[in-house]
Amino acid sequence: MKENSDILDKIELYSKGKMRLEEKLAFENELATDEALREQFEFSQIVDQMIIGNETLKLKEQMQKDLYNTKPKWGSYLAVSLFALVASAGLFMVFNIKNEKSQIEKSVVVVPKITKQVERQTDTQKSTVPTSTKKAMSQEKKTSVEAATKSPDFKTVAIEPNEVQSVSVSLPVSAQIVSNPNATSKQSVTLPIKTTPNVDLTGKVETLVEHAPKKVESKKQQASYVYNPEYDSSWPIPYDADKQATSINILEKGGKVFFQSSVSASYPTEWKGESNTGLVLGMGLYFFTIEYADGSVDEGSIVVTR
Amino acid sequence: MTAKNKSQEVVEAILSGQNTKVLNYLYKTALPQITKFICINNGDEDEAKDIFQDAVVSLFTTVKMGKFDIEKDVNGFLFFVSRNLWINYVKKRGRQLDVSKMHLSMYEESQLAVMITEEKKVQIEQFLEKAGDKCKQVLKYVIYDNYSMKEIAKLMDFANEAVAKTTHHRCKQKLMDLVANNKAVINLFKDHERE
Repeated sequence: MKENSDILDKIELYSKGKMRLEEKLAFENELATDEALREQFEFSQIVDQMIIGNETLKLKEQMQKDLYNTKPKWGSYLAVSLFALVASAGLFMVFNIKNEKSQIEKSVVVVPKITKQVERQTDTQKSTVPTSTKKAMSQEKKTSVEAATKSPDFKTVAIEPNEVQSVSVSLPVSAQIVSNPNATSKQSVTLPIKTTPNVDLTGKVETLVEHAPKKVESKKQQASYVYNPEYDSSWPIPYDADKQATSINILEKGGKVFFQSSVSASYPTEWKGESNTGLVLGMGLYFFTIEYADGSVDEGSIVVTR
Repeated sequence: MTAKNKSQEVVEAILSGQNTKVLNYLYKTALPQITKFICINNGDEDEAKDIFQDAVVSLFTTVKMGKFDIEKDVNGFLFFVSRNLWINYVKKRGRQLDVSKMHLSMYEESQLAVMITEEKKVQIEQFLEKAGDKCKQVLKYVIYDNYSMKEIAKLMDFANEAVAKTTHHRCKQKLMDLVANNKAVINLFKDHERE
């Protein structure tokens, strides 16, 4: 028993790498010569593997939890978003019904919706705001709606004064909006509505005027170039100097990427008509795309002649 | 350089039983790599997760057995083990797989990998059943947790270290004798060790 204990001790120290070098070498020597010891060592290793394997297999349970638990979470996200969707649809309907009721009380409610894009021309600019609401019923009532800011156009809509439950009117409203091009992108404008006295229709039309970004339509988009490698050693890549380019791709007609470069890493200013692997291109039509950091893309074609 | 340091960190964490920390690290680093590989090679994400789990069990086992080469990369090990597991899995199911695309060079990283297969799992359960709960506990403390006899004596309410040690030896010898009398088990565990 004592002997066995010693052997087990030795095996344990050895397999845990706790032996000093001389001891280790001596033990390995013993292993090589003593078959009984080698056998014992093997058995010990198998037992170790069993004990360790029994524990490490438990990791699977933990991983199973970690890796698959995300699924029900997605399910609940889905349920929540569905619920939100249904709830908002319900609210919208309720709100609409309420709106209809108030339309009955007021007889006429005009809800002009104004969308507007300001095209930048000069410092002060004039533009027309198209306004439209649906004409749902043909009953008429006299009312005049005036939408005005600085120089209003008057629009009159004739409606017969019958017993009208609800009317929505289609009326174009022109308004002149003087917009400051240096303004921030969104501004709220209030347009007063005036009506003739016998109709109880007063209110305000609020509209959000969005100034179009000061973006000049790039003429480089869809530009086409001609490049003859025999005359020009390279084709200068037409970057938009105002924007930060991130990558350039040159595609074959079939859509296969012929040349690709990340501009931020190496700024290639020109293209020598070679693919990334150094293949010299043939004649024909090629397409290029330049991507910019702001997400915009310039694209165009290059006709290569020889 | 940092990858190597990270690898050593992972090995140390495995040895000191910080399993959750290691797993979280591997979910972020090795799992996407393996998922990508398996999805490219005719598999899906769930299969990748299964393969990953087996590979992680193999990693932990190999490290705990002291057979993991500390110079090797943990993620490389997991990747190669996963690849081997995947090739075997696909072969078993007779699914199409273009092996020519995988560079099947010798992969040192996984040579020493100790796999715990389903067959082994069954045997392990049977053997440990025979050993009894007390023995199982002592052996786990010694072999898996690397506790000292002193700690074990305290944990298991033994009178002293000597009792812990004799209990451990008795239990180990008992299991070793059981193994010695079971050729099939010896082959099962030896063969896989060589693979």
